[in-house]
Amino acid sequence: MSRALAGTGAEAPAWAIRAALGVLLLGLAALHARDGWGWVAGVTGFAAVASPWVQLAWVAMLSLALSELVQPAGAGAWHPYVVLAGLALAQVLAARAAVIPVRARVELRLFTRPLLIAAAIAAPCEGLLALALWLRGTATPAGLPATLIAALALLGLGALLFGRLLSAARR
Amino acid sequence: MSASGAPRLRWRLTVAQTGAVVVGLLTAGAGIVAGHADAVVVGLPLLALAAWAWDGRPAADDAEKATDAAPAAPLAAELTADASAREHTIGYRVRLETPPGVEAVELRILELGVRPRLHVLAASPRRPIDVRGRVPAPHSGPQRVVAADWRLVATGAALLTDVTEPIAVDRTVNPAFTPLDALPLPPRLTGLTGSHDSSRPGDGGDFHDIDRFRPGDRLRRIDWKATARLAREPGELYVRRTVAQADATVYVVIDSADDLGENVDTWARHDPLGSGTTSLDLARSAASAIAAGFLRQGDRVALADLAVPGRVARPGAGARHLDRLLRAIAATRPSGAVRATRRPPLIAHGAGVFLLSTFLDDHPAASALQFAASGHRVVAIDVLPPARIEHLPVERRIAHRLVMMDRDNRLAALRRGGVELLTWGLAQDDPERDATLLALARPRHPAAQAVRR
Repeated sequence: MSRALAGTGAEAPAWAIRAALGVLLLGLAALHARDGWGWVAGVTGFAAVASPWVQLAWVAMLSLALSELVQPAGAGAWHPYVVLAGLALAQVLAARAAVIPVRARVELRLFTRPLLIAAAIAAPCEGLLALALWLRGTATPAGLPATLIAALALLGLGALLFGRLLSAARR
Repeated sequence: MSASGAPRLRWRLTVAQTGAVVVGLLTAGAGIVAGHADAVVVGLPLLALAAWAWDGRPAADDAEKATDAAPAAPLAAELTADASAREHTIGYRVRLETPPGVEAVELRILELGVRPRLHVLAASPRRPIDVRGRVPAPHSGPQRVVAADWRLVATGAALLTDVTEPIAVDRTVNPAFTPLDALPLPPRLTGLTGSHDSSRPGDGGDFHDIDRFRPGDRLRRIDWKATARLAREPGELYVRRTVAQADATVYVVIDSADDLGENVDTWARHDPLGSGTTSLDLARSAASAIAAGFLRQGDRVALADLAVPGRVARPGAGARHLDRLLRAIAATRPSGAVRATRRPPLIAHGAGVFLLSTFLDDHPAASALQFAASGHRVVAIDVLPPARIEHLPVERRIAHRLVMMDRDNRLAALRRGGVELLTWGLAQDDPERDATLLALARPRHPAAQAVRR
């Protein structure tokens, strides 16, 4: 399937998406290789490459997120930031890998907008993560900042959703 | 020519959307329960991406957002192809206009029914998908040049449609041929005019014989020298008679039951790219060359299909009839019909028959013998292309050899039955074939030109 159609942009084989997803998930899992969740993420990430439509990639993503719970990072740790950005990128790749047949050729332009959106979402979240990690390092009781930030984040997300939906309804 | 359609598509939720929501909520929930704000934040991008995808989903007909149960707005689709083959290829073009909210189109293009190509193309309402390709056209005859189907992927791959019904473009590729010059005529010519000398006397060109003057003979036909030489009684006159002109009626009978290529390995499967030149390719070229050759001489030509009894073009002459015949010949496709109870076509009295077949089964040979036994001059044209068997395993080579031996017996029986054989090769200009045709075109029973008393 290497023949190109005239009128399409630069293309790549669809298996490259799966390979990129596999490399990404295995790389993120390697950050948490010391705990069980990291191993779960590695195994499911590897299996997700073979059958991306059975949601194993999201099991791997959940494992990676939960591994942050079992191994709380300090304020100076860098891997929570990598995991956050990696999960956003993994969602972009896994969503496409789940619907694109492996023998297809994919126009690379397809990824431009989703990657920009993912970057635009991940950037403020990285700031929030830095704030959360800083608050954990302070002397305040542990539950208070987490609950506060989570509530604020969920409220912000809800407001965003309702705002967009209401504006769409007005159109 | 083009095929177009605006299929109504239904959207369904993908695992990506549910996965992102579930993982995001579980992570955030676990973070809240455990009192880890950083874990809550790690789940936020997934929820935000899911929200973005859901918000950007395509609009439905009723101005609401599409869900997995609502019909989506139709999209305009058009598939076009060149009207005819150019340099043995046919160009095609697929154009799709997608509604807002569609991120990608998964486009499947099937070339010649065997070459699938799958492309996932970025979609945008402002920039329709417009792709072009070229398909090789190695064969003549009707063929499905290209078929296309697709499904749409919504923003964020959150929603997906089912695959549409395919739209297709069919083309009939005209065979390449050169009208034949030397053609064997049937023994009995018909009509009062034409381009061939018939066996009966009349107003024609060539000398027929010297005969006694009879009432009705024109005075200018009296041959005074012959009269002086031959007359024995006073008033006895001799006239110089010429042959009448007449035309021939020939039937071109194509056996479309099978279509076998040079590559014997493809005889049991559809592989237009690997088969090489096929028997029907040769049959179409041969039939066109024969029909054009006879019609150029002013003769009458009919077309019949041995495998499809109803497919008959009655005898006719002229340029329009030639066009009609060439179209019918080009449209001949392998019928694959079972021959159990099939009757050979009815042939007009005295007409010549050109039967084009692979002679791999008994029916065409039996028909040819039946035509010959009825008094028709039958030329059996063998259109089985030379076989390529080098790459076949031994058992298949043996099977092929057995089939060919059976065919050789059949061809020998045809020769014994008075059927003339001609092999139609792959080359457009074949000196050996032309020489055989020239030999066949010579009068088999030259009329004795004598003086009748």
